[in-house]
Amino acid sequence: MTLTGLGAPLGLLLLGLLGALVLGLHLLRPSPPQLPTASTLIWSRVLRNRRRASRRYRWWLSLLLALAISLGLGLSLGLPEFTALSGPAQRLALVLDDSPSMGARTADGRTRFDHAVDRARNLIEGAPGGSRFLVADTLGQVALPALGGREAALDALRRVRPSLAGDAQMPVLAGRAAEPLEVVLLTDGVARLDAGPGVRRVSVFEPAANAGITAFALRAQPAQPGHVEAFVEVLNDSTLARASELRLSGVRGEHWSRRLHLAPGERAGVVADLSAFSEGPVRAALVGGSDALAADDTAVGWVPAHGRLRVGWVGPRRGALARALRALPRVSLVALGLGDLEREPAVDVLVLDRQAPARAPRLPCLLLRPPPVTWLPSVGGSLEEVTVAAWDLAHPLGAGVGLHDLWVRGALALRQPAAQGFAPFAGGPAAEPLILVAAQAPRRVEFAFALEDSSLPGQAGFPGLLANALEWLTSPAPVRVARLGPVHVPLPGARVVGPGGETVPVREVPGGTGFDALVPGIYTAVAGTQTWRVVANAADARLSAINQSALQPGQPPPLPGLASVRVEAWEAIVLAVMLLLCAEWFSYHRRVSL
Amino acid sequence: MATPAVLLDEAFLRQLEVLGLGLRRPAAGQLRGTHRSRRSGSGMIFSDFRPYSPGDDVRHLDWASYLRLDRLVLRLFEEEADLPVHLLVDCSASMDFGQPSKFDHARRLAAALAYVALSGHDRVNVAGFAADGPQALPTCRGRNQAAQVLGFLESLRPVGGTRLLASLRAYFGGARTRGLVVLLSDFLDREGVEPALGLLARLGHEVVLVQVASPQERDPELPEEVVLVDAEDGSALELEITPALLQAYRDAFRSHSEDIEARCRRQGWTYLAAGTERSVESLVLRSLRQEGLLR
Repeated sequence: MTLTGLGAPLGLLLLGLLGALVLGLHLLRPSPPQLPTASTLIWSRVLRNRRRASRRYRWWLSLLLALAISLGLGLSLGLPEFTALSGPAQRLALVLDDSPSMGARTADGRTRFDHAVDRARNLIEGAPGGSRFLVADTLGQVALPALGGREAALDALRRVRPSLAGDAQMPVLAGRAAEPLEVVLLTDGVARLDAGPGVRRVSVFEPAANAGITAFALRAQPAQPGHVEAFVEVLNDSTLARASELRLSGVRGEHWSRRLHLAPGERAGVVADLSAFSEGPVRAALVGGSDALAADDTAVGWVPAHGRLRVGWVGPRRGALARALRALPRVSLVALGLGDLEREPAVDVLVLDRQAPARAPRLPCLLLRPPPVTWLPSVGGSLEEVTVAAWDLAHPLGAGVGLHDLWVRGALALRQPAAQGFAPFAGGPAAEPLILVAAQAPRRVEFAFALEDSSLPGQAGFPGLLANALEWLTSPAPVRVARLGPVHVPLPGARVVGPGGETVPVREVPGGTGFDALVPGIYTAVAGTQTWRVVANAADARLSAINQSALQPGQPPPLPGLASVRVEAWEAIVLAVMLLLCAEWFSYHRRVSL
Repeated sequence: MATPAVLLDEAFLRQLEVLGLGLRRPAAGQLRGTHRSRRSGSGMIFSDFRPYSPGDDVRHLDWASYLRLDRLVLRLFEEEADLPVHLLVDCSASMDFGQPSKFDHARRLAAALAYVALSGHDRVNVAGFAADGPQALPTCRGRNQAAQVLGFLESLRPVGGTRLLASLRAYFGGARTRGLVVLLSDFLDREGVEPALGLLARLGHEVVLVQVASPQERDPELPEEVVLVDAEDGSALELEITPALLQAYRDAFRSHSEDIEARCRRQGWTYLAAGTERSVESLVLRSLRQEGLLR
């Protein structure tokens, strides 16, 4: 017999102490009260005529019962293992592969993961009494910190589910147990897991027919203003050809569809013209035919703004800025005077080059070296010969733009921009604000310098910066495309809402907020007046290729039966202790024991 | 234990003065008394005639018979004798039990009977006996010696074990005139009461057995576990009390009393169960009168 719950010396010490305690308490048992009586003559006659157990015998019986009960309890706490009765106990580490391909349905309608859990359950329930288990998974969803009992292992099994997020990898088991572990990996062999030698692989792989969307991207075509197209890649990871329908649906009921005939293993790319779709979310779905994995049958995207952008222009008709604006594909330039601003012109955004109205316009504005007005940061002098030393990389204005070599010959020295709701986007070596942004509606972007006074027109990133500025000024929220798994948005302290409207748990990361996108869809991160949208997709050829297994198909697990019901030694001991307690109660009340 | 002053109160003594001892057999006293005896003598009650023998008291010649029959005939009369009364009080430690104690109860009963006997001019012998032998008072006669008797009874102390047979042998070892023996005891003798009662039967006395018992003895209330310590020898008996065991004890105690009473009845003796819950006055004035011992 060995004690698995406690070390052998500690367990024996505990049992010894318990025995000594019981014996001590038994010896300390208070003697009954003494009462004087006239004579014990009659009592002696009575007792002579009654069968009466010897007091010594009763004392020993009582002591033995108490010792058996206490030692039984102590023994059960030590989780004993009787090798002679049940065979050697196992130290089993069960690693469940919960990568996306494990969610594929097999011919019996259950998933590979269900089969893996059945196998794991059989291994746990079939292990000899006293066996200890450790359950882990390849995505780190659940892991027992140390070897545990049968119930804890079965409970851990119930908490694991296949997930689309994250990269499956073999968990590190070294150091979790003092004793050597027998590691069993239950997998379909699709995820390439570096299990290492000595790991027993149990295959739950079963070929299954699957077709899925492996890529979904949307883009506006700069050469064709107003034109948006989607690229969809579809994979047929089946042994048979199949016909499916690819459907794209927009937010305002727009739809597009195409019938696809896919040969076995064929990967087909489809380009769809979504110019007629409104800006906003779009859903792609692959419909038709039996399909083992539902997770890759849909994908979401975001149709970018692709209509004409009317830009009200106030400033010199010629110059670098005017040329750059005219070069932007979506821009329709409308020349305005300052007086026109009083009448609310029909434009989407204003560009004011070295000019500004006395009253703040209700439209978003891009201002370059504006004259002093009350609704803009005050001017406290001028700057000469400054270079841009830093800018906000997380701001949408800086997406894809580098300002490393930007120098400014002369600029306004702006004071207290925060008083007007502005925040610096780019600044000089002494943090002098050179480009400011105001996120409150209507949004503003203010350059403290004129283009002619800087090297910006010659910068490669100038058109991009200009386009970013117009995009940010006119779009309510930037959109980020991400894979399922950990996602980061540059909004510190943001609250994230998932595709179903549920609040997603977030964590603080440097410069923003992180969260886990576990299901495909559009996530919205909100912090104050700023909003980001994250389009998260599972679309991945590796996900849809559920039959690319390195293992042979596994045998179906046996159905759990009565033979799998096993009573632990400690449970049997506790049962025996309860019986002994009943015996003690009965014998005490029958005056058989003390 | 009661103090001497409260053994008998004045009012009770007045009630006792009108009582006398009643006997089922003629008295065998040597002195003149108030009880009928087997002897013929100078009493008042005619009993028989017999022929005159020289030396007979000529005052008892029946002259009428002489004239009619011409023979000397002597008239015989029953002689009234006194009664030797032996009051034996058990002074073993077992008597010092109960509330009131059995010993006090027995002493008061003995005192009452002694007072009645003294009032009837009977010879009263009082003795207390325990394991170390009897402690006796010289014979007393007459009411004027009542104080001496009561003082003796008050001086007795319960101590030691019960040895009825040895005590009776020691007491009756000397010449004792047959009379009335009143034995007041709880009869808890480890050697048994049969030998002692057999001895009394052989001695030919008229016997009254007064069994003194307390309610706490007959129907004890004990905790579940208890060590009973014997008052006489200090031996301990550890018990786990159950209702069945208690009932068995009550039955055994009752059987013990019934055995003694049955033996009494067989011998034609008087038996009195003197529970301490009953007053001495009630026992004397009612129970003993009903038994015919007092009249």
